[in-house]
Amino acid sequence: MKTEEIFDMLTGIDENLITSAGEDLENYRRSGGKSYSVDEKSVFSWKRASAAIMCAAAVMLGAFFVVKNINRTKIPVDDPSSDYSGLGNFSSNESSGDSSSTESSGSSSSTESSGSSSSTESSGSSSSSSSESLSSSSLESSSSSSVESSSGDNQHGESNQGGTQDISAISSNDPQVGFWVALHANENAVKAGSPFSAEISFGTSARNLERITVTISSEDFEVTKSCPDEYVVDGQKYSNSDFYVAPSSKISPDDLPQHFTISLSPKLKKEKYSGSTNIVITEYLVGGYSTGTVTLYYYGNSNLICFSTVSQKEAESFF
Amino acid sequence: MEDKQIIEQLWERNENALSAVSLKYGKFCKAIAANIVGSATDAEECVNDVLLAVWNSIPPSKPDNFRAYIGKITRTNAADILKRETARKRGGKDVKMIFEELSELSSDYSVEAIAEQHEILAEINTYLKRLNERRQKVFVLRYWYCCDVAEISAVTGFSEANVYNILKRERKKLLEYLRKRGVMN
Repeated sequence: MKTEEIFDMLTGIDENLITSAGEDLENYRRSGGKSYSVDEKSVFSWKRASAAIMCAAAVMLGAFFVVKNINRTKIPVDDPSSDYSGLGNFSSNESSGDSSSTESSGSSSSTESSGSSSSTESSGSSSSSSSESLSSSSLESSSSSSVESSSGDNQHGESNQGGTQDISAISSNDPQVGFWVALHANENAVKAGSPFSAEISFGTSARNLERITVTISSEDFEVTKSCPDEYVVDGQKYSNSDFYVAPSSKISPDDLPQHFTISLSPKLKKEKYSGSTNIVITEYLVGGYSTGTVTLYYYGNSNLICFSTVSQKEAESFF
Repeated sequence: MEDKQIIEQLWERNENALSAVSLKYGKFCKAIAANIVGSATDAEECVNDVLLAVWNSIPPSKPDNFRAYIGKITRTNAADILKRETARKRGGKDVKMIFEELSELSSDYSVEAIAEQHEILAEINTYLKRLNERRQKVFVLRYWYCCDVAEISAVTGFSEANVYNILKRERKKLLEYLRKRGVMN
């Protein structure tokens, strides 16, 4: 068979897969990664040149305002002597997730520290094609900068082989900062109540972030997590569902990945039903915010919770 | 305008539907076409052909997934243009490489399978559905949308090196899978 025939044949790939990938591609391009417009370099190179000049001017203007605002902003400093300042403490604290007040506090802190009045939000991306899919959220960006470096870093590259689902996002105000959370389970499934291990990290271009908050909540599952119940920064007490990754006063990629675990128990014990777990990632100094949703299945017969890519039969064969 | 409304208007032979399609999916189609044909003029021509094809095919068609439907028409048209343009050595910047990669999958099919190409496609779809979502996206973005590796990396969050590795590994695994399923010799 000729290569061309293979290429033509692939046009018939499952529509759900096409739609899902297409939406991500579209979101990425809309967020400023790349314009949909076709490369017309050879015809209109002068346009590209003038656009480059305008971009450079915009970047310089942006940098000026950032420097100006940093000088004005009171930056909260994490207490290095805190019990929660290191990885070792994450396993000793457990609490149920309740994220009702987290998001607003996160947003306001974000605004304060970045000195920016804009608050860009993104919900998990619409994956209309498949209810089973994990939505990889992307944020609407007001910046025209490149987001090439918003990808998760290399440590994550192959980790999703086997049982991993992850959420990735880019910062709303600084597309250079990409961050993600990955949930791992051996063979894509765990017994209800057993832990999923989770890992958080962000792109290697992220520097000196103040904190990242990961909030985990679910309407369908009871969530237990091995991370601090609460953490006090600058006298402000945050809700007990927050998880602060704050190993030092400023976080750099060297401080990550961080690990913790979550355990899920279904609120309903039916034979089979799907439920979702929401993970909200907030990054402070720059002011990014994103929501992602992992869809999981619970099979009551075998008391198993699985990533949505796994059938009950397959899941049972793992145990 | 919702896809459902667009399709209803197409069934009513209302030409406003074409404007709506162009507005909603013009850039989407142009991006797919441009990735394949590599020229703005050809991509533009391709999009016009797509609009005509949509007008001619709906009715009688009533696609459930209009985005995928229009994407498929675009890809097919762009591939046709590419075949004409190949003689002139044009095409998207990565298309040549994509064809080289796909050539690994192009030989040794059983005679029966070649006669029934939809069976090969069904096996490929089954294989893809077994992958996790991010890997599916890497594969589809590369071999359906014809994206370059840098863009796939940015969309999926994998590093570029990992995208290369994933593509290489998945091609190899797909080949093994097709052999195991008896589609290939």
